[in-house]
Amino acid sequence: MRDRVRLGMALFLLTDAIFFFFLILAFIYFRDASLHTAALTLDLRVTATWTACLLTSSLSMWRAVASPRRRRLWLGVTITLGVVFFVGQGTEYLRILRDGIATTQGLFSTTFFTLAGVHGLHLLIGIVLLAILLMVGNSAATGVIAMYWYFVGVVWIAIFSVVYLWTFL
Amino acid sequence: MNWIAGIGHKRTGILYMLSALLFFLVGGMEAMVMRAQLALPNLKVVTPQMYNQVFTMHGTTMIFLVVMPVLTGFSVYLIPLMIGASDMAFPRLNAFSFWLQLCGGLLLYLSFAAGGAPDAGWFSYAPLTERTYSPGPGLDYWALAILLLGASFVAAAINLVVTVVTLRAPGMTIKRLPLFVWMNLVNGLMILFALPSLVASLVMLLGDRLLHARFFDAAQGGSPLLWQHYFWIFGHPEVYIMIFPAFGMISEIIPVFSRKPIFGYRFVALSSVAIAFLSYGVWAHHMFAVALGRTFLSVFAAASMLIAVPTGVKVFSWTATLFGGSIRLTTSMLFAVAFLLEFTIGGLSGVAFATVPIDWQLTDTYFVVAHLHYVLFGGTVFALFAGVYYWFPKFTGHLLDETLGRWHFWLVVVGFNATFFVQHFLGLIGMPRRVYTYPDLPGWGALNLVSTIGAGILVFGIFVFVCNILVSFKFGAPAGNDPWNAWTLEWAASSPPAPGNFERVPPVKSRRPLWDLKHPDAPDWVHEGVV
Repeated sequence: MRDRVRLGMALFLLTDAIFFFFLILAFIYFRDASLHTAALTLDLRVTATWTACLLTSSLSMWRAVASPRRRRLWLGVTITLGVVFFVGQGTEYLRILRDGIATTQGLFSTTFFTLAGVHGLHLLIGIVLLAILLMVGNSAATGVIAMYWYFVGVVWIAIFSVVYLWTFL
Repeated sequence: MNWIAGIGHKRTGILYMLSALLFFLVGGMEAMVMRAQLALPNLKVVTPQMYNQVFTMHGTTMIFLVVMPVLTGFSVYLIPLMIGASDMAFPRLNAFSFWLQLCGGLLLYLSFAAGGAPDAGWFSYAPLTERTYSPGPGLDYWALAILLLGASFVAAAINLVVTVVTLRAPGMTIKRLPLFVWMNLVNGLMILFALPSLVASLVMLLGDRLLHARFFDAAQGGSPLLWQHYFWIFGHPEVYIMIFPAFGMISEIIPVFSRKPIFGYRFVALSSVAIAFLSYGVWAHHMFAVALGRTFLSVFAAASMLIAVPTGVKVFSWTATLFGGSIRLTTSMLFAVAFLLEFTIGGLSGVAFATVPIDWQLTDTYFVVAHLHYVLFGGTVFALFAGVYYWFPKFTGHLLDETLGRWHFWLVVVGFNATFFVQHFLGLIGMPRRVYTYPDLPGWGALNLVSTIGAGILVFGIFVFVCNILVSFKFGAPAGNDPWNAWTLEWAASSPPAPGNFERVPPVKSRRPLWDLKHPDAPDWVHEGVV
């Protein structure tokens, strides 16, 4: 049964990864036209901080899988780090919208907010899953939900590299 | 109540098939509205706006609410039986996929009540789909409904792949899988690789329409071409997704009614893998009319022609299976043989399209309509009819009536060819597809009238088919467990199979476990590896 669920999750993540691939590709497709706005709008340092939180949460997730006795503690840490990233980046997005440099009227905000929004939705689902896991205490599901959580982190590395690092480096 | 709350794979499979049949009748009526409007030059049966809605809904319905669901229905019903399992890997997800699919279909049709159905064709090219040019709610319904349907098909595909990988009975190795299972396994993987680009383009379209994004609006810096690329990266594999399970059915039916094992099992199985890979490198042949550059065109033309090779391998294998067999021409087998002929015609016109100058001449004409119907109706739907006559006894315990079956077969063959063969000529003399009406040019009226009369005959054939299902379900001759003296595991279960499918799964030592049971003196496994 466990293999079955793991394989099912792996196949879902495969198809989801291709979905993100196409959204990132669309960002690159319009990159030339939106690069100027991107450089003016994005704040590398702030997002790098939140990114560090998200990546650390992958480590705490791994601890939750690896040490069953401290599972609840590490799940709590993971959720906290996830929420910090979610709120942090959410505030960032609100700032960009408020600054009005790239309100809803540009190619940059078209591709950027599509990517950011879809990733944020994935993250939110992940937080909800982890919260349910913490409450229900089903340790069998931990490994599978961990796969999903690592995936959300890996996708963010891709988005962060293409959207942020490529713009400034 | 059990039908709504139940989660068994057989019940879910039947629900898939019934809902597909219902939408097939609706989509067929939409086709008849089109044929009535086109029967003679300058007719005004419906308004031009209604005509656009009808052809859009016809295409969308037939692809997303008929072909994909009915194929899913057959696979979730048959695959656990064929591999000796008691259910799918995730029965609850299986039922969820069906209800999601049905809700997607209902949502799509609600658009009629909400102020107008989608009207931009089934591939919804930008920028026509932008809010500026399609202000009504139709395309929002279209995009949201297809998003739901996409999620449903992805869930079903995951379920199917996991089932085949993890739930096979002892002895059912990958090299002994029935070809129907093989085709569906490859198909499930294709769905997982192809659907994401559709989902991504729908998300982008909804962003454009609802949130003022500008992905596809050239006037605002977006790119309509991006939609075409993304849509066809999904759209071309989708063509194979709609035929692979049908290939699987043909690969089960032809051997049983020829009393011979399939010729070249490995070639049939591995050529599918080849087609699956190639299908991701040919999408731009739907876009030859776009100025893409000579190198680009040559690469995609060559790749598209290349696909004819593994497809030809399959047709060759089926034909070679027939050769020298003691053929039983049941209705099921008649449809299977007709499939070979009709599908080959559709395949040949497909190769013609891979030739760039021919495509330039014929793209967006009725030649395309003829080609795609030869593949999808002459191919997939003929195979589905063969499959229904073959497995209906397993589903219900009753045989379908053979006399009504013959009527059904001949009416459909005559009606189908009369409708669509003439459309090749209409395309060649220049009639564009998706036009509301046409002037009285020499030949156009007569050919269109033949096509419309053919469609009428086809409808009558479908009517006989539905009658046959209803009558035989009630009064059909009892089928027994194994009416065709077949070889795959589903025929070892009772008809219809009991909950849990098997009391004891028969031993699987070769590709034809039931042959081994029936012929202990000359079992297949003695020379396994040779054939």
